[in-house]
Amino acid sequence: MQVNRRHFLITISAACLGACGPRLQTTDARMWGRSGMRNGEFHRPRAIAADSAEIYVIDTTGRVQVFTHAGEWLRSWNMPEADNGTPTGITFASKDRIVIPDTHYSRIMEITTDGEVLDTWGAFGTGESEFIYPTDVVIGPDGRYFISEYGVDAERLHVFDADRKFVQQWGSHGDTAGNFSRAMSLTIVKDELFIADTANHRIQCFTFDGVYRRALGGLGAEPGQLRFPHDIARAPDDTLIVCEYGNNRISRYTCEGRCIGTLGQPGRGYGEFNTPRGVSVSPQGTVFVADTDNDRIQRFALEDFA
Amino acid sequence: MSDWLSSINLFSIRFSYPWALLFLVLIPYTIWLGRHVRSLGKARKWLAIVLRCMVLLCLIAALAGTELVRINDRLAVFFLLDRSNSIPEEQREATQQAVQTLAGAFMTSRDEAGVISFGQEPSIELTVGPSLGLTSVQSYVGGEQTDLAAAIRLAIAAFPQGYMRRIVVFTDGNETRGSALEEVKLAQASGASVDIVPIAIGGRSEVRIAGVTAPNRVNANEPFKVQVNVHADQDGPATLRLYQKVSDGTVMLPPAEVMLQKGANAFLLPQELSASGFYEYEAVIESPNDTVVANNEGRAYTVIHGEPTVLYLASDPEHSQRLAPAMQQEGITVTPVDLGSMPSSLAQLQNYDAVVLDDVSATDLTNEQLRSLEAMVRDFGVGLVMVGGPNSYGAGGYFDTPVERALPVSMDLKQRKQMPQGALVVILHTCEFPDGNAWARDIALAALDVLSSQDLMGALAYDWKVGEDWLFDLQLVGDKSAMRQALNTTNIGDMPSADPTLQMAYDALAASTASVKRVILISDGDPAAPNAALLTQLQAAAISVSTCCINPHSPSDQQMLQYVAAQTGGNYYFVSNPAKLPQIFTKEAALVKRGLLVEDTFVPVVQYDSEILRGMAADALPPLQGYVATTPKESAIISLISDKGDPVLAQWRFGLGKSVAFTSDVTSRWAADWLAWDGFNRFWSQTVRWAMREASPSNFRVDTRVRDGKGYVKIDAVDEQGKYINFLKPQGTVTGPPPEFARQDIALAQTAPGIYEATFPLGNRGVYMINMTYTREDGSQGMIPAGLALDYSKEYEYNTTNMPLIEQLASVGGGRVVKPTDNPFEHNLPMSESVTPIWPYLAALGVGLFPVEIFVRRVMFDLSRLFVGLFAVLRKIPGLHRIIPAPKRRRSQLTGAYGTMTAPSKSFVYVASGSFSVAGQAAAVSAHVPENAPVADGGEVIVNAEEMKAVGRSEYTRQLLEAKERALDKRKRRRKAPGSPDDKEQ
Repeated sequence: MQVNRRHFLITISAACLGACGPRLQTTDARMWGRSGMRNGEFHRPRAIAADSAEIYVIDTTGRVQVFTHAGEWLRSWNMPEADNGTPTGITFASKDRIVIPDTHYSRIMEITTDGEVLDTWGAFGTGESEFIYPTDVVIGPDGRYFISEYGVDAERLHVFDADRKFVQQWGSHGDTAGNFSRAMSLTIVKDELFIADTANHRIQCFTFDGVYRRALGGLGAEPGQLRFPHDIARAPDDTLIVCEYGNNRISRYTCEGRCIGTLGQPGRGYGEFNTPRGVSVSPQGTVFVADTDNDRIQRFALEDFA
Repeated sequence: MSDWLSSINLFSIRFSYPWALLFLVLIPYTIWLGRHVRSLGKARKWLAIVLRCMVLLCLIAALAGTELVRINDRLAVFFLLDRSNSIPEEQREATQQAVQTLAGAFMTSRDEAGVISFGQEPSIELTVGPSLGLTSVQSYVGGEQTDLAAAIRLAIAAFPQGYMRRIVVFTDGNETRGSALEEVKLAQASGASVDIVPIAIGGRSEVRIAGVTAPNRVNANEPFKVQVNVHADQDGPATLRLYQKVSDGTVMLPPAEVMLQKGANAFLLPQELSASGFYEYEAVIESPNDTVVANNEGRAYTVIHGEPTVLYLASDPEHSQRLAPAMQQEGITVTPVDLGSMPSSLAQLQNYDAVVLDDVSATDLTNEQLRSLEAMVRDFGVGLVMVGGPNSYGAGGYFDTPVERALPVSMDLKQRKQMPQGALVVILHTCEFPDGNAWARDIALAALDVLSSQDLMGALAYDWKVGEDWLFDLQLVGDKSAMRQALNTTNIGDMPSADPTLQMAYDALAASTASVKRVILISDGDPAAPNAALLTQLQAAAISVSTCCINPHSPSDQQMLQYVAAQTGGNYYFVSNPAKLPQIFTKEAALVKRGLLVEDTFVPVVQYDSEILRGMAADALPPLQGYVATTPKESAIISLISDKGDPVLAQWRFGLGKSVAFTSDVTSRWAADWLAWDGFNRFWSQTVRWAMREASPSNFRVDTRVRDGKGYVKIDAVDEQGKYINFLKPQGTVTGPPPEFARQDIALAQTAPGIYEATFPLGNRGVYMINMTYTREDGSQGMIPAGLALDYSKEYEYNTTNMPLIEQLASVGGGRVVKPTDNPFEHNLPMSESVTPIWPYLAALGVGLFPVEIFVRRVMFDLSRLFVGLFAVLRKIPGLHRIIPAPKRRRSQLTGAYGTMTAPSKSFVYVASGSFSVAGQAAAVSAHVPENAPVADGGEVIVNAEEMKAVGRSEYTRQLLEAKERALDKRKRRRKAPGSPDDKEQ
């Protein structure tokens, strides 16, 4: 066989360059974490929230770990109790105060960004200021608390004023409009409240006063359909980012309910997920996903949604 | 920089088979051979020699098994933390802090560390890593024992490769299991050093029960004494309580106020009992001078030998109205119990001579009871009689249970051609408790075991990739292997909602033709509830859903599962102990086995005239209206059969005991005619008497105790005349305490006339049952029951640090006894090696170089062409074509026998730069060079390549033809010349 001289030389040159050249970067700040109990390691991370500089992640051991947007570990603390279960949501109330629905302890905790508990409120029950499993908290422009909840006789949404006085509640178990089956996450876009109605495979949209407006999604795997949407987040451009536990993907919707992109498939690589349970979007528009059963966090840009 | 330099010296080469290096003598020979090759130029010749030597070197090095050895100076440290109960809690916490402090103070970038906590078993708290963040010890390792050996073994296995290895053990040295000394030797052999940090314990004032003893066997109404030994660290008052436990309850004997003296104290408590049976004594000491409560109790047991008794258990009190009185009327002492008071331990069951189970479902008995019943027959000779009914045998879930093994009939009905079909769908939801998925698999397998090959089964679970999916569709169970494999290999996901799986189960079951349909859902109650319409559909289709809640996040989680079960007519179970799960699933699966009941009227046929039927006329047996279908076992005696040939009365010997199976019942449902039969009482008394345990000799004395940490048993054998009985060859079985009921065989050796002794290892706390058999010289056999009570763990006996063992471990393991503040990260250990075999690469290199060597020898290549090619490539890089000129063909000169010639060459020369000039070898006639040809630096003539090709070729041919003509002329002249050699030849 006659060897093409040109190709031969190019190959040799490339090999030499490859051998002598700088070592390629193998770490990737687009995703970080692995299974474990050390700093920067997770055991099934499920709640996530990002502000302009930091990301807070709670895993099923009850640890709250704080990272930079590049995945650098900053600090951590433990939830006061975690034997019954751990929080499913986390929300920024102000620059130095976060609100955590302590889901399996039927209470709302207000905590400083260093883990100091400022206040705890709520109790077990199905009454007006009681919870079975509070799943997420979001604070409205006027300081109102919107709290989603599930449990037997407690598939509902609570509203409290800024002084934590009960204002109203709506919803019960069911799949009709205005009812819920496992309301897991909340977000506010403009003057509307969006609720991830997980086991009904949809996102419901309400006014702040509980008037039903519309629903997004529906069971399926096609774009525009959802399968166990576990978490939702608002992007800076007022689109909705939805974390789909059942479809192992992240979807992007307009507020009107049009799907404008999906991202991800089942797997272990970058852009692949194993039953993700949490998503958050930073004010800069960076999307962070708690890739729960892969024990890691993944980072995306809004442009990554195809 | 210094790190980098030191790493250079950290590599060396090692050979696995150094003898292969002898082949190196071939190298000089190869050089010698190569030098004598004349056909090659000098440079090519030496290049070929070098290549050939390299090929040989590579192959020899590969043959010698060359390994690259890297010496590592990185240190990995495993901290082993003793979490056993002999160490006070505050000291355990302090140890944990000490480890964190050490890591913070001394750990460098060249160190890695991990933590193992240990007690009854070891557990890796943190794997070896570059940082050590030990905030709290999470693992539960059990504090009842100290197994230091297992912890060291785990550390050795978990160390990463290529590090210096050090184990730092924080312990009080009081090991209660295994031999740390042996493991330390192994650790040293594997290159790990073991340092010990002693934890100082002691200084506590302690009162503990050192032992309780009672005679193992006492005749009824014979006085005996229970001895309680108490150890006290100081004088003081105490209260001694003695509890007497029998199968039907506990009696607290009057407490005694005693004055303890420092050291050992012994108290003798006189007893006398009239009722036969197994009695357990528990002594408890209470003192104000005590610290640890766990060592304040001790146990002993004794067997009171009296009249034989039978334990009678019926699931329904109605059953006992007929059978129990029948036995009593025939002179048998019967102790009726209900399910709640059924004894579960072997010690209690050994109290009886036979046990009768009357229509009792296996699912109403605990696993411990089922195992005890089997062991009772096999190891202690207690008889077992099972009376049938709709809750017994296969219909009662006895398939593949220990009791089935003890019975003379099997519940498996493979040989029957037609069986009513049951259908079962199992829905598995991952449970967030340790090993939740493993449990889910085990219970599904347990349910599968209950079903016959003709039943239907399906399993549903949540898969993280595809969502709710069938592990296997609802299908015939068949040989179970495919289903087993599917269950064993599944990875169960966290199901967000129960609705989709229940819908899938409904769709499949509604379409099947099975006579009984059932769904079992196991969950932590976390999934969202199914919708009400689906539950209505399930109920309408007679598909019951039984739900099982394990480890709920909140008590309210149970409500969803309770609701589903209630709506569909299924059962709801709340399981606090996952070990009970298989039993529940067995029960549920058994409910689809209702088809095993055969309800036709028939007259039982006598197939074998056994002892049970003695004195009863074969044609006198009244008809029965039904029975449970079973399969007779091979060595069983089948006395009565049904009209279909199924066993009705079967009996056999099992181990040391006997068991009887009666597959019909003793109620009006199936045995109305039998209840009115005048032979009823006699039939049952003969059945039970046949199964009863044979009496053991009363003139043998048995002594059992704990000696040197082991169980010790001694038989003192004398006959009725008081003479020693020799050569008995006693053998026995020791059955450990629950839940394992670990069995071990013992052989007693005769150590003196009439004295037989044996020892056996002890494990968990509880009563060890010992049953021994012997054979006399005349061939007659007998049985001796005994027992041994092992009290609180030795862990609670220790009140001081075991420094001798700690020092011994350190000296044997090549380590040191160190202080908690000493640096554990000192790099003073022999450096470890990581070995990489490189012979495969050398072999590949040798084989790869071989064709190169052939190429060099056989193919002549022109280096200039390589350069030209390289420059041509470089010229294509923008900018470089101005620096590097274009190549041109060159005509070079060659001087030979026919004068100096020039010729167009395949080689090129660069006109612009003389430094690129390369000499060619071809030649051409200089006379034909065109006059206007350009001249290069150095006087070389440059010509047009195409023109030169045509001219050169014709001139060269002409020259050759002229040379040929001259040669022919020369030959002719020679022939003509006289005296030439050619003439002479002619």
